[in-house]
Amino acid sequence: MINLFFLELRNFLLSNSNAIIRILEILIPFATIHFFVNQQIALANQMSIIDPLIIWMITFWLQIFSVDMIWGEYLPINWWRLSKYGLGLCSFIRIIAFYVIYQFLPIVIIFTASYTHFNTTFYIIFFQCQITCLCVTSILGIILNNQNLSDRYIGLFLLPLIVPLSMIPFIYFFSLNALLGKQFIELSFGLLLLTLLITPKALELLINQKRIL
Amino acid sequence: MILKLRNVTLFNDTTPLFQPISFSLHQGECLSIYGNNGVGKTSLMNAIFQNDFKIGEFEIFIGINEIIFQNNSCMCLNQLTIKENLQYLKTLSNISKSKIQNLTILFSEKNLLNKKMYELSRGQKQIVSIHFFDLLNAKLWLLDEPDCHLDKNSILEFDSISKNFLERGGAIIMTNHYRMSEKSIELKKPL
Repeated sequence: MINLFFLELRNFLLSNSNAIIRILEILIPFATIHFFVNQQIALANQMSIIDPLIIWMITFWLQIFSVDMIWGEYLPINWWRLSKYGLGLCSFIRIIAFYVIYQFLPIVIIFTASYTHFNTTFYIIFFQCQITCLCVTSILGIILNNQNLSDRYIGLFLLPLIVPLSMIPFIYFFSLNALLGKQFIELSFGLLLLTLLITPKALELLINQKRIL
Repeated sequence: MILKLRNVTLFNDTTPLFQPISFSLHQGECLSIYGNNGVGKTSLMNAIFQNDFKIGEFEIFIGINEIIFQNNSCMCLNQLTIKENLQYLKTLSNISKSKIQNLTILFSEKNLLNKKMYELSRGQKQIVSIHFFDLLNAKLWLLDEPDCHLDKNSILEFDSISKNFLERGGAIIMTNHYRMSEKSIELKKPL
């Protein structure tokens, strides 16, 4: 299965929307905003507010952007259907490979480049919520793709789900306290477990209904 | 028996696509479905693939995961080479080493083994994906215009692969604009 994951990873890495270009696409606006904000407001000591907000906007945009990309390519449905792992697990492996290339790597770079110091609890909540978001958007994305609605309504359907989920770690960040942190970790972990349990089966059902042409 | 259809048709909104058809398919049989453009050949294949018929009787005696559907687009990992795609397939299913080795030799003789899938022509992609199908353990192949991009040699190759598959007890349904096998059905527009 690890071999499968690495081959998927390689496929995404070499795909036409090249990963390096993708990372630059995210990094350049981030660096530009950072530069101007730094010039204007750093003296006023508001960087610790602006910086996480920029990160939130970029990670939120990554989620919306990803949905359109992930199901746009032809899927090897035949192969997955006949595999020993099953359709659900194979498509889930593809989602995780996609996540690593198109979301995890740019986010790690952004966090490294940011001025703000985030604590470990924040990172745990953030990545748990990110994977939950990815599962939810994948399921919703393929439902919309099956109905030929993904071009027009993707934002409309995703906003109510993704906005609250992606905001959870930042709500914690702006009201740091140990008790809240523990509760947020539990909440995001619960959501993550729930989506991880549901996602492979949901993907199997939905991809089986996907029209190949 | 693999599948049985009786008085089946499909609709485009409220208009029927073709006159109702009936047929049954057994192991080792090849059925050719032919008709003009836009008559609903590919839609019929899609409906069989997804077991999705609203009008008529449809019975299938094999599992949903024993059907393969091939259309003109190659559904493999486009950025990887044929060799890597073979590795992917090997990881997915329990394919014997000898089968993989035979294909590796065949593709290296054709100088295709280290070519990426997107570098291949349509015809090459088509014949490669049919070779890949042969590795998988399916009982029914649904082929949409399988010979439309193939040259003479590739058509002979396709014939031999499909013949082997039928001899092993598989069944094939293929569409085209003309009759391709003895057992055939013509799709006609409704009167």
